[in-house]
Amino acid sequence: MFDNNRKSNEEAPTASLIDKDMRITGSVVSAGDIILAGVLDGEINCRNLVVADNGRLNGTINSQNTEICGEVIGDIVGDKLQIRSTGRFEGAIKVEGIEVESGADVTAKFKKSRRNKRPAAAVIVEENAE
Amino acid sequence: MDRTKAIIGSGAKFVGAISNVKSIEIDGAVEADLQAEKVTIGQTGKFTGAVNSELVVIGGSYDGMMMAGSIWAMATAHIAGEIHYQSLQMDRGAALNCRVVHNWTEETSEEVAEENAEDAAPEA
Repeated sequence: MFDNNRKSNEEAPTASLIDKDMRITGSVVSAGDIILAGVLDGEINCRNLVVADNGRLNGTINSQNTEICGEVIGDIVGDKLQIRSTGRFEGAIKVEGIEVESGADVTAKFKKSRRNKRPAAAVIVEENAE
Repeated sequence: MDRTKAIIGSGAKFVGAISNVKSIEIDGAVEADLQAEKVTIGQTGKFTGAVNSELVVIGGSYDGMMMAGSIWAMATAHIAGEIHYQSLQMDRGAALNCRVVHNWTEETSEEVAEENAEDAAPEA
């Protein structure tokens, strides 16, 4: 990912924090974790994603573990999804494990995720996009 | 979460536009247009795009058009493109391969104009 990554091989990927008030349009790809407290329009591709209370996301998520305390409108592909009581979700879900706390506002379509045959997460996103 | 600081971790790649940020620290790769009060590009950071900021600290690499009040280029900095600044600090070892422009504010340009007028007066 880096042209000048003399050091980054030894360094573990660190978490990214998207601050509240911050607004991003575009895509975010991370080998590490992302905490979204601001607003993002676009695509997130990471390992662990937390959409915080004030966080809002319009777009697609491709993340192993996703925790939603804020608002997400779009599609999610991954392994685990937790929607907290403060969370709001609208869209399609394609994950292996889902947990929805009571009080959460969820309008969703659930898609089957084949546990054994599941291809790499990145491939699924491309299929969905088509 | 009340910190008003955004962090782009190493290993993260952002593409797009970033706005409404107070303070941002970039250790990953970012291709974006950014407007912020304070920008820090860490040693592993790589930023491509326009920056408009009061204070920019560069420890990584930057390419693009920067408009800044103060720029601090650390020893590990690599800068390409174009930088406009009001004050600039460079550490020994910083690599600047770019156009460097001092931004005249109205105040400083008046001061310079006065100085020039004083210098010119005796000759006339």
